[in-house]
Amino acid sequence: MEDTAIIELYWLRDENAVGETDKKYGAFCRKIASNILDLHEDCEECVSDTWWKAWDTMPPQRPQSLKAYLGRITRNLSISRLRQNRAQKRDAGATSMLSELEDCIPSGGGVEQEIERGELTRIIENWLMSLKAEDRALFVRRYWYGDAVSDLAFRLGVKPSQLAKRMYNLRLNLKETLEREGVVL
Amino acid sequence: MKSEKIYDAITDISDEIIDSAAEFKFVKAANRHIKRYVALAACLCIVIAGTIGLGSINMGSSTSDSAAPSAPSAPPPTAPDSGSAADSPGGTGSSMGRPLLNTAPVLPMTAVGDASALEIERLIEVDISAVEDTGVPLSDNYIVTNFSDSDVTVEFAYPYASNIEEDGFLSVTVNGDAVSTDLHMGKYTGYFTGVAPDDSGTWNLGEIKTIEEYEAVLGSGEYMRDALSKKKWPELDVVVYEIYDAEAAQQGQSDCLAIDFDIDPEKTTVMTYDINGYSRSENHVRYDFFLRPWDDTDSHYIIVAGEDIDEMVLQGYENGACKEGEEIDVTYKVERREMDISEFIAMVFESEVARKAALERFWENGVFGMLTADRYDDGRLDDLLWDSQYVQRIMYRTFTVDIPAGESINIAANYIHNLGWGFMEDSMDVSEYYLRFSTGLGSSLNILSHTLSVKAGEGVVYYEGGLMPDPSGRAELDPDTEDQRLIFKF
Repeated sequence: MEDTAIIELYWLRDENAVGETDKKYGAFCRKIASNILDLHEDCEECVSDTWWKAWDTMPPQRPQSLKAYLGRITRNLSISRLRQNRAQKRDAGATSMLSELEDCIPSGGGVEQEIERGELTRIIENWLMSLKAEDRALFVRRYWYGDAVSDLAFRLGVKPSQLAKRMYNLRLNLKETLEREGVVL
Repeated sequence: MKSEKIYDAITDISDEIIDSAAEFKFVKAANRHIKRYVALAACLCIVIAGTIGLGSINMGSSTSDSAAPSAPSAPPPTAPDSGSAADSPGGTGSSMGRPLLNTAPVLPMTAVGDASALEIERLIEVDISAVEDTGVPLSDNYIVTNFSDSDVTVEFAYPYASNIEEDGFLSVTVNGDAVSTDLHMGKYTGYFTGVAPDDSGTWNLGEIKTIEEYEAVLGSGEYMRDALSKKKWPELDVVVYEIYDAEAAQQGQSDCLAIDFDIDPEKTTVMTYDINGYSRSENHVRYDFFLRPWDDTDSHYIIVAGEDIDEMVLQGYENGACKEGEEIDVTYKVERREMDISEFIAMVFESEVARKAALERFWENGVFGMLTADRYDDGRLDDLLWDSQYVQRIMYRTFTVDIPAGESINIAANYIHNLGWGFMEDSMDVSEYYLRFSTGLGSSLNILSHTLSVKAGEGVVYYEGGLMPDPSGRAELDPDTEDQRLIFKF
């Protein structure tokens, strides 16, 4: 079913909207959740909660990209769940992706105020747009979609170790950009 | 954690960036139609140091800047894209609602020669409590009894679905002792497809899913005979230009190095490895690649078969558009070597089995193959070589065992087997995992019984439409039914 038709089902308050969403984007959202959370039941709950969140927010929302909209909800729910789990010491989760992102943390030390989430997103978006298309796609596929480095390496036809090095340099490049922008986290 | 702040900010990036990343094609498919021409060449090697700015390399052997040292087999089996065919009930009526990740059946052991004197009981032990990634440890055990009056020596072959890069095989033991095995690699079990249902092209790869498709591949025994046969591939002389240490004088975001030259397509076939872009205007061709200053071991290859290139011009540009007026200074090195194509493949892959797989793919479906696939006809070897490592094959581990008259031995094959995954039609939330078992596919052995023994952690629930282990974890398989499934959730 086309995305516009699924969104229309939500607006008509037709419960088939959830089933159609699961059919089309269930695997996609499960993959995003499983890239963040180790525990299977947590992933499933996040995906279920994604459907409820979608149901609650459409209307009034009419997303331009349903896939990105749902994926974003799943990412937010998953990281929230991860924070809860860590507080309860029941799931390490997302160690790989988050530890990689630590390479991007700018070295602070100044007296600047911590940056707002929206402003940080804007800087990252500008940085992404300054990259060549292939690097931009690689970064987003790895850190938004959560694709494994080995999968991306396969798509590129390079060894995973080669791509890991390239991703590392992209992270350092982002770190330099954040430092240049005076970002403090 | 600070990294989570970055994660949160990345979460909110625009839909356009998210969608364009999903749609981005990492592989530039250039559609070239260069006719085949096999070259004869002597051994000659030239190393040329790049210059700042525009560099021109004359490939005539005596005029270089600096002199320096030094039948294809049958196509893969074809099968229709079965779509959801793997969903269909098999054997005991077990079914999956919507499998999202398919898995091959656990196949039975077979013999290379005559094994009619043997009667066999099979016990498949699987530990689903030890799941890691998407695989589980599996031990396929055979109690083999020689009921004849004389001792027999039998060469067994143990088949399992795998690929070259992720071979999860662990060992074969006989009476508990590990024995050495020979690895024989079967051909790609899948097939090529077009980009649309009515497209007869060979752009995409399709994997077999249904038991009928496995039967078509393995049923006649030809697949195993081919896997166990010794293969000799043709020779192909090529000139390999390795371009390395390429670096822009002033680093930009999208620096690239373009390589321009003229060819007569009737006499020259060009292949590439680790080259990003390609364009052609009549007999003039241009390749280019992005500079990766972070990877100082990065090499890029132009591989020429047939008449060699006369003159190659290398020029740096600000980006992949390679437009006039956007030239930049780039340093680089080029090494020219003459070799057989198998030697080039050996430069890419270290292991012998990986090289064999790559060479097979090259001669079957590459630009010089019997059936050149659309997927590879642009001469871009990256796709072909890496496909050869990742496509599913049936691998065989062969070993020879002496079995005295009237005695029994215990053979066990131990490896990691992938789980299938999907979810049931009546449930939106619950993921189901599954394993498939074959009782006779491709096997010449007289296996009297097949027993499954499952070790499961607490909380595992079996789907009643599939095999149902008893409280001790055991379930009997019907010897006359293929594709029996164990479906469960954690």
